[in-house]
Amino acid sequence: MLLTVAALGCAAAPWKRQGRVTDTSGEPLPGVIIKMTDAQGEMLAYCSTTGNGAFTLSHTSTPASGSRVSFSFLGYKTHTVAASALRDGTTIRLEDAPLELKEVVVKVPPIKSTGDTLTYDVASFRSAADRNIEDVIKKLPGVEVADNGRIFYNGESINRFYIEGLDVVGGRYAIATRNISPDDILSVNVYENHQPKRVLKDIAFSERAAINLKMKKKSMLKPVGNVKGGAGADDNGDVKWLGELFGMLIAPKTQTIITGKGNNYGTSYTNETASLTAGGTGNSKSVASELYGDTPFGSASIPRERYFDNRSASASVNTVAKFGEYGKLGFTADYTYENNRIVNSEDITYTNGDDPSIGFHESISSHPRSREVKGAVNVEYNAPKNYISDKFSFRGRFADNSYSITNAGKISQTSRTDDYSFNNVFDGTVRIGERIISVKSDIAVANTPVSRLNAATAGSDATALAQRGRALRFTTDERASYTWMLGPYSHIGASFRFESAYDLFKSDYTSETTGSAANDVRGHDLKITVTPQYQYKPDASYSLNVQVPVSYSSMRFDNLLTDRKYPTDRVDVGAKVQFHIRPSANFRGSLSLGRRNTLGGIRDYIVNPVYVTYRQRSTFGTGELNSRESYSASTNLNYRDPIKAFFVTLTALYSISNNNRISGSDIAPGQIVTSARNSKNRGDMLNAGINISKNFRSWRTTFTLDGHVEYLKRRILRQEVSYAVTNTSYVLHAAINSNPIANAVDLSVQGWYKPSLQRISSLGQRNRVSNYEFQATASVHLVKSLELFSQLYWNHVDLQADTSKESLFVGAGVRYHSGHFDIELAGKNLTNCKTYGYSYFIDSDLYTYSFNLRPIEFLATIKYTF
Amino acid sequence: MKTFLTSIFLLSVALVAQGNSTDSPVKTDESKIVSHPTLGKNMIVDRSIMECVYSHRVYDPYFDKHRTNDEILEIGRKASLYGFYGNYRRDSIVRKDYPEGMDFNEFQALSRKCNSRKSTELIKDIRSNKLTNHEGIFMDHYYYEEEIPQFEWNLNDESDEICGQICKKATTTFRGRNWIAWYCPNIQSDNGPWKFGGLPGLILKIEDDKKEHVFEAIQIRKSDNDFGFHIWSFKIKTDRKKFNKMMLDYKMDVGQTIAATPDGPKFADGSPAIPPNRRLFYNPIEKD
Repeated sequence: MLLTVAALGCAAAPWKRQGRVTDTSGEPLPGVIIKMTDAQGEMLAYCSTTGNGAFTLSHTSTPASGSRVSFSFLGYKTHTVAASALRDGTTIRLEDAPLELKEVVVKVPPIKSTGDTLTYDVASFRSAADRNIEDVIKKLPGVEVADNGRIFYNGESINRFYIEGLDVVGGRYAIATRNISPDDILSVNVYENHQPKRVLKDIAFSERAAINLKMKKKSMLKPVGNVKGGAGADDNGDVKWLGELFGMLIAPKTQTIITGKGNNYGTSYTNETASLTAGGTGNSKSVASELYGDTPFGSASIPRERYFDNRSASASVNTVAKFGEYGKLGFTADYTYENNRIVNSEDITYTNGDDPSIGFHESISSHPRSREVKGAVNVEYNAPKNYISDKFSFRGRFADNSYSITNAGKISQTSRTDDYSFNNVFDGTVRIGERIISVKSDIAVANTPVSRLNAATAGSDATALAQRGRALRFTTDERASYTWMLGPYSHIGASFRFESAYDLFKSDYTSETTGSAANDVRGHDLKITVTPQYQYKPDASYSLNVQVPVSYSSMRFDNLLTDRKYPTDRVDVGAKVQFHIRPSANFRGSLSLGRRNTLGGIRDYIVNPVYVTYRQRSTFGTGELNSRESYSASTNLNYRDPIKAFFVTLTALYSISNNNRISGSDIAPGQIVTSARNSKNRGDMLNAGINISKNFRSWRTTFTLDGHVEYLKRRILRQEVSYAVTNTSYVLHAAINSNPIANAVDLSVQGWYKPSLQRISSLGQRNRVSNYEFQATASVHLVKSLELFSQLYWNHVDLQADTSKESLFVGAGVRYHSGHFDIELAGKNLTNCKTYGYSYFIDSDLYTYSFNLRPIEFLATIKYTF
Repeated sequence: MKTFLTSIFLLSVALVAQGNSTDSPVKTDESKIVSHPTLGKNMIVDRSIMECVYSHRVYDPYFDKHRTNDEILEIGRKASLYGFYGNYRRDSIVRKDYPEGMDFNEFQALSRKCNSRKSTELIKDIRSNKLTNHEGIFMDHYYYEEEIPQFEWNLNDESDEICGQICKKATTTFRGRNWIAWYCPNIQSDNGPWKFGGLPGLILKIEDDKKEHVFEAIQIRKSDNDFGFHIWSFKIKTDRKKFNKMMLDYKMDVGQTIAATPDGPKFADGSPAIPPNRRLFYNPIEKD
């Protein structure tokens, strides 16, 4: 019921009473509240007394019997009369009474919502067992953290990570989240639908969120961090060691973070220095940049620290300084070194059409080593009317890997890749009245001067395989856009994009079994795209955005060995429609429909095979340009109630793609040749997920339930015959994070069920593998300064031939805290689990792996926090 | 000569006052003035029976920034006062712990610690139905009077919990903004933060529909303290619209405003030391 009333001086109405209110001594009482309610207690009218205690109470009609009028004021006893008994000119006397007031002090709410910003109070979510701020972020409802440190909010990865409003780590935020102590952080802000450019605020919609760490005042304006050192041993008598330094200085205008780390206890630092947001440092790659992976013979689905025998080191420097109100200058530099050993075996069952499957077994001892140097300088001016940014970055990676393989015989394989890239991105946007003009230029060079693969049979001096390669890629990407505000609700505009690329790829190999082959392909690719667009956004509750990109592509590639030329000129039209709704502060959704055409490039003209391992050759191209036309529909719905700490996210993507080629492989004992053939190939993909999380403040517990399904259907070639293959994989995950006794007990329990199905209808094949995982961590503070902790991980996997395998890992430790020092003794793999196995499908084939695990090991560490 | 210089000085201050017709002292009752060596003179208006502390969050779209201040509403039987909580805390400490006064540096350090700001007092006198706003701009002190505003509230059945109290919703439009208020029927006061009031219960939360101003109660308690406004040796009477205009001009270009006063910082050659077009964080609560 909506009640519209004007307090004091109500318009004349059928029912009206006037009078006065005084105290017991006759003094008039101003500000007394007079309310008339019906028999059910619903308010019918109200008013207040004036300065001389007078009142006028009106109602549209004579109140029904049972209606009552109450006179109430702070510090006085409420006086109530029947409405029918109230006469004009009545004087009501209120008696003094003790003030009854429920005194309340509001503590900081665990989650506070202010507009598009959610603020999580760290103290409400952290426990004494949390080692770094990432441990706390993992517990925040609505937020997920992947194993590599990437943070997701409502199913989308975040687009920026700030500390006190500044981006000091340039997208490599694992450096911050895995090293900053929760003791230094006051709260975590989530900026929903974050638009990093102020000039585009309320104009260009962003589906991603950003995270900002608010520091405690005591941790600002002075260096904070820690120094840690440790030593130990494993079951084999090998020495284990660890040394780490982390330092941070956060001030309003400057920030600096430095790290220096090394260990052989299983921790890799490559994720810490990897960019986890789009547009990271040195993303340009040539054709040969990642021709030979570090683990071409399989990697496990468990953390690397369980099966990588490592020697890892890293150092990084990150600094940013503000100049003026809106300017900032940032610099980052990293160095990482990895020297690892892995021992595993792989069994592969290759589908062979109507013939029996081909099985293959080999045991591998891998020794990948790499060094990586990265650096970036960024200048940014981010003002409400204009935005200018320039970022120059450099990346150099040098990988030197060796493998010892045993199958029917014994083979050693080595690979070496030297890869450099330089990248400069300029971005400028200016708003002039109703117009917005934007210019972006991205210039990159990726050079792989060394890309070598060699293989030799054990006991033989002759080289079984020698392959050399090199590649170069130079790209430019220039964009300009013009937007005109048609009024307060809509704007139209157009963007212009010019992309160019020059690619070069050379390779040649000599093999004692397959002879020799070479490639020398180079050429350029030019593309002009004009995208008219229209946006309608009448208010914050919904918006519509339509884009129609029209592109012209011109490619000229040459095969210098055959003197064959491959010219292409082509026009394509795409479409993209996005609809966003936000009917209430707690619910938002989006729907996207689109059509796009994706063209290949130089790889399509590399028509002679290239070895990627000693027994696998790939022919990247068919000599015809690859073209893929795809139609997609996606939706993202999320509901969040920060007061009740309840978050639900639903995502779904369905796409149909029509490709002009089919990829596949020819399998022979000891040799695999992957290639492609020109043919129509339709692929269907469905990717859907749901995530529900709820935090119960009184129990200090967060429950999370999520499910995910991925369905992929397409055609592949096997032994020159085309088959339709369907792969469906599910993940069902439940987690409970609880700190039931504040700072005394901390528990985390998670379970996964991961079934995968593969179907090849034409062969009547239907295969299934299931994977069950369970993980639990517990931490108990017997007294405030003494902590016992343990981790347990169990998994059950179905392997081929109706076999299955179970693994159980247990780790435990004790930590003593005193002042600035933490002394810890921890052990890993206490159950002495020797191997880990699992199976999964790739296209039509089943891969089964077994990895040797690190033995039982112990490490004692001392950490000093300053 | 002295008379001439005094006249020039008074004339330049009058120019700074920008068109205020009369500079009249605030009406005071000598019997209700309390003095303190450090805090100066205060005119006591009433004695509080309850206090409500609000968190006032302001958004300035020009800077795209938020700021939050704690403010306090002291409610007496005849009047109420709304001002900065930092000032309340500082003054309470000074009166209780330093009755003989404290030196300037100590006072400055305590002011910083309490996060106190320039003295601002908004007083509603319900006996006379008058609202008086005492506020300063740069180094000048002003006050204006108006009738306690009357609000046309639309009451709603929606309820929510604010500051531990069950509240009901009401909406209104007031001086250029649409407001959503949550009032607590169990607290029998028709008062609220700043100039708001007129609901059958204390307003514990009120925000405009753009969330540029959000007042939310964070503490409710009984009290028994005298409250009043500070008596400055020189206070200028003005009216609401003129005062709001002066404040807006000052915030939009502080250099321009204080360049006109003899008190503004200057270089040795006499030119203003504050750079031009220096805009301060500001978003007026009332837009007309």
